[in-house]
Order: sequence, then structure tokens, then C-alpha cells
Amino acid sequence: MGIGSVFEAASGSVTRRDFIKVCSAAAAAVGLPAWAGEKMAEKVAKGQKPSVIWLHYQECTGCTESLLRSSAPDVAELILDLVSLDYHETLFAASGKQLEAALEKAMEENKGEYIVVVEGAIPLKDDGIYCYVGGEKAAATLKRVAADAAAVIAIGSCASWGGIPASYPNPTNAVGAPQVLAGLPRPIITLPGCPANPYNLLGTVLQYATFRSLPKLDSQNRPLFAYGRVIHEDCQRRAHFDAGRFAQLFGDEGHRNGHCLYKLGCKGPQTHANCALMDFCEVPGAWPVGIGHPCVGCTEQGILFGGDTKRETPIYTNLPIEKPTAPLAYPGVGPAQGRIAPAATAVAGLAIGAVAGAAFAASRKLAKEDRDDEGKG
Amino acid sequence: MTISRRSVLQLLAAGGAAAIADRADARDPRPSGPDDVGMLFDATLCVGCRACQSACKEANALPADREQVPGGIYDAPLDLNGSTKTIVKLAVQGEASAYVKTQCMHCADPSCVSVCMAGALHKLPNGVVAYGKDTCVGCRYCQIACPFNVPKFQWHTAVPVIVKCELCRDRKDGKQGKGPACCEVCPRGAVKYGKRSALLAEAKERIRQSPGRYFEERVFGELDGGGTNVLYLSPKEVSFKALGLPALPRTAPAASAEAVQHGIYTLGIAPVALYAYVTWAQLRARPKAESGGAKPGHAEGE
Amino acid sequence: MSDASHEAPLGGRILTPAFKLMLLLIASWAVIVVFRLFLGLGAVSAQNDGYAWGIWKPLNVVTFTGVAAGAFAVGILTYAFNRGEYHPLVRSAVMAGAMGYTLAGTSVLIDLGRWWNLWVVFWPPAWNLNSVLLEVAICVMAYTLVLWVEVSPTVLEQLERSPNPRLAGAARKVLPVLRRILPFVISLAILLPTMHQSSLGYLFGISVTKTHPFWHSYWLSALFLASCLTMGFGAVILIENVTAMLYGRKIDQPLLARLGGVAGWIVVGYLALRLGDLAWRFRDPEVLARYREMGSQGFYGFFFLLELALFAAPLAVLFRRPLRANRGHLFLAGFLLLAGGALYRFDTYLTSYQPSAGWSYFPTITELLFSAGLGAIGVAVYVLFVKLFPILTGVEKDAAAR
Repeated sequence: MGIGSVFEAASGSVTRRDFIKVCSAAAAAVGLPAWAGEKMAEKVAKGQKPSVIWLHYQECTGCTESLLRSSAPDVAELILDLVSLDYHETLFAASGKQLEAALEKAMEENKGEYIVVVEGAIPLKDDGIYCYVGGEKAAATLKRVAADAAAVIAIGSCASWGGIPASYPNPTNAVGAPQVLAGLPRPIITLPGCPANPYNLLGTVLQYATFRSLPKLDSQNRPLFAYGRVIHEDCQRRAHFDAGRFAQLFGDEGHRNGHCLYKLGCKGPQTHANCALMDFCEVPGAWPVGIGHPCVGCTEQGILFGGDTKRETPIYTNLPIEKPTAPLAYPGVGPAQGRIAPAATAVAGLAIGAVAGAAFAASRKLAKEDRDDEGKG
Repeated sequence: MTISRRSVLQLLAAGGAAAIADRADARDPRPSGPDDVGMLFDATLCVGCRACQSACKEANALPADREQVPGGIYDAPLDLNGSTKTIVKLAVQGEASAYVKTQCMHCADPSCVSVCMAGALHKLPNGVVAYGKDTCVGCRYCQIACPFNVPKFQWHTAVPVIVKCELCRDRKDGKQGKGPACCEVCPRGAVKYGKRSALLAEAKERIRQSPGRYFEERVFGELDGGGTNVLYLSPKEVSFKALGLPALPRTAPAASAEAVQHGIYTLGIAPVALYAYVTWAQLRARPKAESGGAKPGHAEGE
Repeated sequence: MSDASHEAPLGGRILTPAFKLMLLLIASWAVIVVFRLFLGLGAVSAQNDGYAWGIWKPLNVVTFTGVAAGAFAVGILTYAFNRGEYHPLVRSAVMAGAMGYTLAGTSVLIDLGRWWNLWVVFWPPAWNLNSVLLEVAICVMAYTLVLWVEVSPTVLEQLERSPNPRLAGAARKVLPVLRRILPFVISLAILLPTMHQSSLGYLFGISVTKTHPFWHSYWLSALFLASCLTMGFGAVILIENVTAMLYGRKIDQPLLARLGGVAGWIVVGYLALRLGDLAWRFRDPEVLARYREMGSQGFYGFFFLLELALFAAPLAVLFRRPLRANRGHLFLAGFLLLAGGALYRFDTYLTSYQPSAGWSYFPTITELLFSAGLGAIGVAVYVLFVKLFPILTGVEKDAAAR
């Protein structure tokens, strides 16, 4: 069976073309070349799908939902077809002991090869009793499942560093997956966001599935392709910022004209994310700033939800700019001004020289005349 | 007459010198009034967004300055000029940098007001240094006198005026009386408008609350050049000089200069005395010439 | 016959080749003025917000009036100190003075951005009495008028001999009246330049932080006054000799030599004040700090020393009778006095002035042409007058042949 027939059979509505498009988009999102998309599609057709175990803890399921609510129909299905989703509490029809059995089976069959996706924060207070799933504490499950995983992906701010549950005063001492799994000799990738952009997940997983490699990460284990720049650097309203055109109040003329939202508290200048480049739900402009609300900094610990014991920053309070515009865009304090024409300099020099020379010559002539006169008489 | 010419001259010279010496500090200092308005600019807060620069152009109906940019596609002045009343510059000192908003300092004792021939530049009761083109001859002495090089001239028009910030005393965008546009739009509160005394107190409070944050732990404009109504705070690593604010003596240059001037011309004594003396010298010589020395067709005194 | 102390018109052809060259310069000057009037100052000059006065003030106003200060200098000797022997030099000096000041006033008028508001200078309620420039403006305008009044007797005397009976009659009526009020006019001619020449220097008294400490001083008034006198004497020596060389008139060298001696003493006074003031001022740590701030010590030092040299060098001639009796040596001394005074003015106004980092200025060719054209006007009118009216002494009888 060819690729097309597999999917036509499975979904009944997706063509091979559409499928390769999705793969190419995912490849592009990760910064892979276009041909990688086809390779991904091939692997899938050959049945080489990586196993994914998706764990949920203190979460709202928003990250899963954002994956499912992609606007292009059946893309969700495609994503789910690109991987072998072997455990997912929301999507699976089964529950209870059957579900737990499926988890154990998947872990055993794909030992050392499966990817763990974590959604939600993990509480640690009072020995972690505030989140039990299937009779086991969250922290314990996570450690156990991650121990034999090939890689761990923490999706969403909650799993990345604590997110909403970790907001002050953080009554359950909620932390992110990297903290629970500290010391684990497995790559841990965090994809913060509230929700995380599903394409970031897609790209990461597909890169692993196709090339068995993971994207380059920053110091907080975030893939650089998505979190290397701040929103401010890629924002569509940046030109307004540079021209000093701000919305002063919601609904005023500036706001209606799409001016920069910095004055209203946009956290874009300090928030690392690619929301400006990757719209949500594949709708152009479907991200907070695009629809007229300042970025709230949902990916960054310490901005929106605080995290740890840090106090969060109010949504409508603005922050200093982390990376100001390159110095060349500003005039210096003493810019060079005034022009000096070399021709004029030459002319002036000659004129002065001529006058001085003439005066000197005249004085010599007169002096000589007088001396001669004296000599004579 | 026993008064010799020599003694009169000696007297004049001595009197003149005494007048100068006596008057050198006689011109009273003029600090800011209690109700003077002004601005406070905190360079540690400014993010260089230039909203102030744009708002100023709009509020004052100033044309864009497109010469610096190829294609002339946007407004990018290099400095204050005939169409720019405030500008944000990048101040660099070694590894550190800060943004600085530059405009008229609205000095307490302005040099420009002192030198303006017909008072086109004058100080309003609320401390603003205002410009009126109706009595301006365009001599540009104000440009020479201002220690901050603020007043700018329109060089490329047959009907030029001097251009400088006037704290939006005459806004062209219908928001007359709301204070300066720059302070209205600043997203960070880096530039604030209010009573100078209150702003100075606030600035000092900021210094007190964050020791080690501000350069020299002081507010520029409190005493510099006799005091200015626009005050500046700079981050620790960036000096006021790097921001473009010159080191000025505590006595306003206008006060020092005027003291000497007024000393020399006290009550007009010196000019009148000189005129009287020269007339007397000529008239005294005249009778001698008429009696025996005048050449034909030639009168002494031509 | 020539008479060293009696003035007579030079006579001779007016439209000489040199005169035609002057007319050409004047024509180009007129074109520049038209451009300025319609397109603004920026169209014809490199003046900018950093150097707002460019060379227009230091050259066209302060140096030209320095040359014109011969009228002032000679006037002081002749009238204030009653040294009648200098009288023969007066008319020529006054003529040069009248022209010099007219040219300076013209330059100012063209340089003023909003010249139509000049009425404020004549309207006391608008005056700002703290403004030194206002005092300069009023005095210069008044003094220009005074100088032309001082020139008028020469014109009237010539008109007295006019073939036209009406003109001759009118002249004969006006002259005696003029001669009676002249002492009061002359007193003004001493007072006014004392005031504005010193003020021209003091304009920079307020530029404490932007003028290099070598030049900024609260004694600028006295220094400019002294140096304008030395320039005036130098100018008289120069003009006497130049007109003698060109038109074959005889000059009174011993008189000029004595004049040079007086100038020498004023130079001594100037140097003493300049150096003393400098030493005194540099005791202030703020002044010293500013000196170090402005940097470019080689540049400023060079001009300062050059000035001193130009002032001091003539003393070698001016204080030695055998040397100053020689026309050539005195001529050179006069030129150096003029050059020194001019450089001092240039330095105070331009060279020593640094508004803030980044600004630079050098005049454009149109600006240089403007000054040259202005000078050409001065020379042309001066030559016209000395040829038509009794201004120069020592004129030879057949000067008309030239």
C-alpha cells in the first residue's frame, strides 16, 4: 500500500498531498529542509512511528486541546497518525485499570525508545500527595515512566516550570518536569506557553521521529527554533513601536489602528516565544497581540504566573526592553554635523597666502626704496 | 582749569575697574520659582521607544525630517533642528549605554533670554522659556549663548524662525493646556511633567531609595548653570557628560556676564562722562585754533 | 604741487581694470544676496546650528570694523588728546571707517534671519537692556551715520566748487552749520566705537563653556577695545602706503612713525592684560578643568601663540625710531598689527568656539565670495571717493593723468 492509500483508508478524506504539506510545514517549523517533510511522510508510511506516552498532571488540558483544535481539518488526526500515541488520558476511550495496563504495555514494548510528553505541573508539597493518578503520586509516576524513555518533552508552561499552579502562593509547591527529573540522563525539552503552540511540539517530535535527533536547546531546555528570540523582535507591530505609536487606552484611536501595545503592558520585549511568527489555529493574526491584547508573557517564568516564590508581574504593567534596537538606529550624543568643502579650504588658504605675500612683498619694496633714498641723501 | 587730562583719564579708568570689581557678584542669582513647571527625565527608565519624539512632532505640527534616510521614507532626525523639538539619542560610555531625551532645559536663569535683543526669548511666570517670532530678528545670538546648544534655526527658508521646546504651551493638536505631549505618551514614565519642586523631591527620593543606581547620586539641573527646570537622572555607569549635559558652574553664565556689563555701564555714568570729556577737550582746543592756527578753508575739528 | 597736510581729490580715471574687477566681484556678491533672500541663509552658506555666525560675524563685521577703526583710533589722538598733527590722516581714516561700517552693517542685515523685524532696534519698549548685541546694533547703526556725517564735509567742500550754482550754493549754506555741530558729532564718534568695539568682544562673555579658556574672559571688552585700536593704527599705516604706492601721493612718514609708536604702547597694554588675565583665570580649577575637557591642546595652543607672535613682532619695529622711519618696516609692522587683531577676533569668534562634540564648520566658496564682494564694494567706493573728493593729502598735481 502506498502512502496515499494508507491515509485515505484511515481518514477517508486526507490526500497524500495534504499529508506531505503538513509534514513539510512541521519540518519548516523546526528549521529542517523541505525534503525532510517527504522523508517524514515515508517513515510514517513504513510504519516507523515513534511511540508517545502522554502524561497529564496539574493541567487544564489546554495544550492537548490546542493540538486538537487546529483549524485545518484532520491535521490533528494527522499528527496523531504521525506518532503512535500509546497513552493519553483525554483521548483514549478506555479508563481505569485497562488504561493503566496500556501504559505498562507501551513502556515495556518500546523500552528505551518511547517519548514521554508531560502536560501539567507536578506538586511536591507534603510528599506530593496533591496529585494522584491511578493510585500513584504524580512525581513517582513521572520518574518511573521517564526512566526508560528516550526523551522527555514538557509541553506548556505548567510542565516546563510550574505555570498556573505555581502562581504565588503556590500552595502545592508545584514545579515543572525538569525539576522533578533533575539528574535524569535523558534529554528534557521544555515547550513553555499557555498553551504551547502545537507546531512546536509537532516539529520536535517529527525531527526525532525522522532523524532521531533533537533540536538545539537554550539554557532552559527550550528549542532555539521557537524560543531563541523575544516576541518584540518579530512582532508585526514593531514598526509602530519604533515610530513611537502606542495605544494609550483600549479602544482609543491608536488601539483601533493597530498601534503598539507596549504602553498597555505588552511583555513582548522580555518573552521568548514564536507566537508572532506561528499563529494559533492556522489563522493569520490569531495570537494575543494580533487581536489587540498585549502579550502577557505566558512562556516566561516570573512574568505572568510568577513561579517558585517570585511574584508575578501584572498584565498591564510594562517592563524594560531586554534587547534594545541596534545602536545604529539611534543618533549619538554628538553626531558629526557641518560640512567642510576642500575646495573652499583651498581657496581660503590661497587668498590668505596671496594677501600676506603681497603685503610682505610691498613692505620689502618700500623698505628697499627707503634704504636707497637714505643712501643717496 | 586745573584738572589735567591725564588725571581725568586716570579717574575714569580707576572708576571703571572699581565698578567691574564691585559688580562682579552683584547681579542677584535667580533660582527657579516655587510654582515653576518642569520635567524629570530618568535615563534608567527610558527604553528608547521614541514615542515622545513622535508625539512632539504631532502636537507641534512639525514636519518630518527625512534627509538622513535613503529614499526619505521616514522621520529620522540626527539632532534637534529646525523641525525637531525633542530627540532621543543613544549615549554610550565604554560598555554601558543609556537613552537620553534632549530638548530645552528651561533654565532658571536662561542665557538665551539674557542675550535676546528684543526679548523674543523670554521667561513666562510659570518658568517656561518661551519664544515669540514677532520680535525675533534672527540674529542667532541665542544659539551662541545657550550652554546646551538647544535653540535651532531654519536655515533653508526665506522666513525662518528659532525652534525649541516650549513645554507645549501652544499645542496644535487640540490638547492645549494638557502639558507636554512627550510626558503624556511615555510608556515607562521616564519623562514626567509637573512642578519642578515636586519633581526634584521625587528625583531625590528615587536616589535615596536605590543607592548605587544613579550617577553621582545627584540630579542634574538642581544647581547646574544656576538651575534648570528640566531635571535629569542618569544610570551609574553613564556620566552626565556622556548624556550630552555639559559641566556648568553653579552661577548661571547670564548672571556672571550681566554683572560685569552692568558694572561697566552703571547708571550710564561712564558713557556720559566719556562724551562730556571729549566734547570738553575739543571745545577747549577750539579758541586756540581760531585765534592763530587755523589754515584757510580748514576748520579745526573736521 | 603736493602738500602733505592739505587734502585734494586724486582725480584720474574711475573705470580702471582693477575697478572693473571690483565691479565683477560686486556683481557676484549681488547674485549671492538674491539667492539668500529667496532661499534662506543655508542656500549660500555653510553656517549651521553649531556655528551660527560662521565667518559672517568674525570677518564681515568684526574684522572689517577693526580695519575701519582707523577713524576711531586717529580720532582719539586728534580730538580727545588734541594732537592736531595727526589731523591730515583723519579724512582718509574716516572715509575707510564709513565704508567699513557700512559694509559691516550690510553684512549684518543680510545675515539676519528675520531682517524685517529690525524695527525692534529702533523701538525702545521692545529692548532687552541685558543684551550686549542690542547695544552693538544700536551703536553700530548710529556710528555709521556719524561717520558719514564726518565724511560729508569733504563732499560738500567739493560741491562748493561745483559748476552747478544751486549745488554750490546749498553746500555753502550747509557747511558752516555742519562745522559748528561737528565737535558734538565727533564726541559721538569717540564714544560709540568705545562702546560697541568693546561689546563686540564681550558678546562671547556669556559663552563660558563653549569658548576655549584661552579666549573666554570677563576682560574681553578691554581686550577688543585695545586690539581694535591697534588694528585701526595698522589699517591707517597700510592704507596710507597703499594709496601712495598706487597713486603716487606723498605720505608723511614721520607722522606715521609716531602713530606706530602710539600703537606699540597699546600693544604692550594689550599683551599685559591678555597674559595677566590668562594667568589669573587659570588659577580657577573649573577653568583648568574646562581647558582639559576641550582637548586639542596643540590646535588651540598654536593659534594662541600665533596671535601673540603677530602682536609682539611689530614691537621690534614700532619701538625703534630708525626702523620705524623706514616705510617698508613700518608697513610690515602695520600689516602684522592688522593680522594679529584680525586673528584675535577670528579666534575669539570661531576658532576657540566648540558648541558640542561633532560640530564642524568651514565657509563655502559662496561665503568667501560674499566677503570678497563686500570688500570689493568697500574698495570701489573708497577709491571712487578719494578720486572725486578732497580726502587724501599729498596729492600730486598731475594725478589726473592716471
